[in-house]
Amino acid sequence: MHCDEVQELIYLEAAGAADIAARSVIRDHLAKGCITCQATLAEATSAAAQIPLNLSPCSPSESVKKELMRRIKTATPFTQSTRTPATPEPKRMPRKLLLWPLVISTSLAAAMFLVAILSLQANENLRHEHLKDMTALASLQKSFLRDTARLNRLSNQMHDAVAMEKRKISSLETKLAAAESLKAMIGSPALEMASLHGSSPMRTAWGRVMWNDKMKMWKLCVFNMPHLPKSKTYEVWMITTGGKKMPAGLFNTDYKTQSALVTPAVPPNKHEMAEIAVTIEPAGGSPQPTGAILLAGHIG
Amino acid sequence: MTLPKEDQHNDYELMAALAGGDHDALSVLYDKYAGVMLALCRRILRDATEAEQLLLDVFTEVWQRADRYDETRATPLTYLLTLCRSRAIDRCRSRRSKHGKWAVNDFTTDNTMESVVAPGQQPAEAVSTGEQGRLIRRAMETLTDIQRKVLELAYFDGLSQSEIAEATGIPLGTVKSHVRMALIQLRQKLRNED
Repeated sequence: MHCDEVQELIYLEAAGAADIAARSVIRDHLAKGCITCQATLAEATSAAAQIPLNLSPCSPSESVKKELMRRIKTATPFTQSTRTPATPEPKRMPRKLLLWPLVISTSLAAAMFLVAILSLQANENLRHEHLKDMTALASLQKSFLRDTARLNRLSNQMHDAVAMEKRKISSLETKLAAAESLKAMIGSPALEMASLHGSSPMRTAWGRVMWNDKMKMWKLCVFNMPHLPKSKTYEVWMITTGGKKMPAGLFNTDYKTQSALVTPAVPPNKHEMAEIAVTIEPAGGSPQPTGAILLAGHIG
Repeated sequence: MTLPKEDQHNDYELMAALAGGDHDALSVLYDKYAGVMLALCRRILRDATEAEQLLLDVFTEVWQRADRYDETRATPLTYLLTLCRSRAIDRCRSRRSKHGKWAVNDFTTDNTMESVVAPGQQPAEAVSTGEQGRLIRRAMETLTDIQRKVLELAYFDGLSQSEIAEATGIPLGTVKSHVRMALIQLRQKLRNED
């Protein structure tokens, strides 16, 4: 409650009109150490205490004073024992002093109780804080594990992507190297070429073979040859001047273009080669041709 | 209180002597303040015999419990009047509980001092409180009728805020406001006179 509200009650209290609830509010407020309201209460009480002075004094009967003086002769004032020399027990401690040990011990007990309560409260607060910290830590650990798992997944995905890219690069490098060597082979003055022609049942098929004896490289280009099923393969043959047929490689044409660029095996002695031919063989090839020659050209 | 400083100083000495068991100190204190204290008892109790009995009891209590007085909290006169009022209100409430609730008319009658001073009685020992009485009377006259009435019902009749509201028909909030304004005004007037 604010001071303004309490002060209204303070004036009631000073005038003697405050009820129990108002007194309780005032007591609680003053217990908090509000100096302003304490001063207001003191001033208001002092002002109210002068109200009876408004009354005209009247004389009490003489018997009242006589009776009073008679009473005090037999009654001892509360603090008189400390001042009366006729007291037969001079060593007896005054009541106030006798009360001190009780007051001190009670105060100490109250203080210890208060300290104990405060310690328990502090301990409870610390325990509460500790629990909160532990809960937060567990949450952080869970979050950390979740993040770690996600990072691992991302790392694995990245490794896979890198491996895939490496494979692509490797493939491209291979293709580049092949293109570079083909370019070198074609651009060399040692390049030699020959045409291949189709025969029944592939009369429209044709091809061109290029070789560079210095570079020990051969390339065969074929066109208008249908894409073969998996059970079959085209096989290249090097045929010597003596009619011996030597296998020089397997290939299949592209499904759409019906063409292929083939790198045949380099014959050990070019000068003995007279012809190059292509047949259809079972998948995996054959040591000797089993099918009819579909494409052939002179290289001798 | 705003009594002359010398007078207050004497009162403090009297209270100290009284705490030391000095019979004469109590006698002097009685002669100084019995008149106004009896007037207060009569005003509250509305019974001369009971008022004198209460006066006797209060002075006896002052003598027996002289250690209770704390000079840092109140002047001797304030202490005596506060104690006197408190005991009178207690008796009044006790009587009220025995004989039933007072009628509202009890509070609305004009209870001025003339009505409680017995005929033929002269104010005694008015020296101490005479000048102060004149000041407070003048200050009280500056209050409005309703402020004075509310203050008297609280102080002399011991009515609580809600009882005053019920007895006078004034709203509770207005009662609080009147009490507050009356005391503030009283305090200011007494300061100015001081």
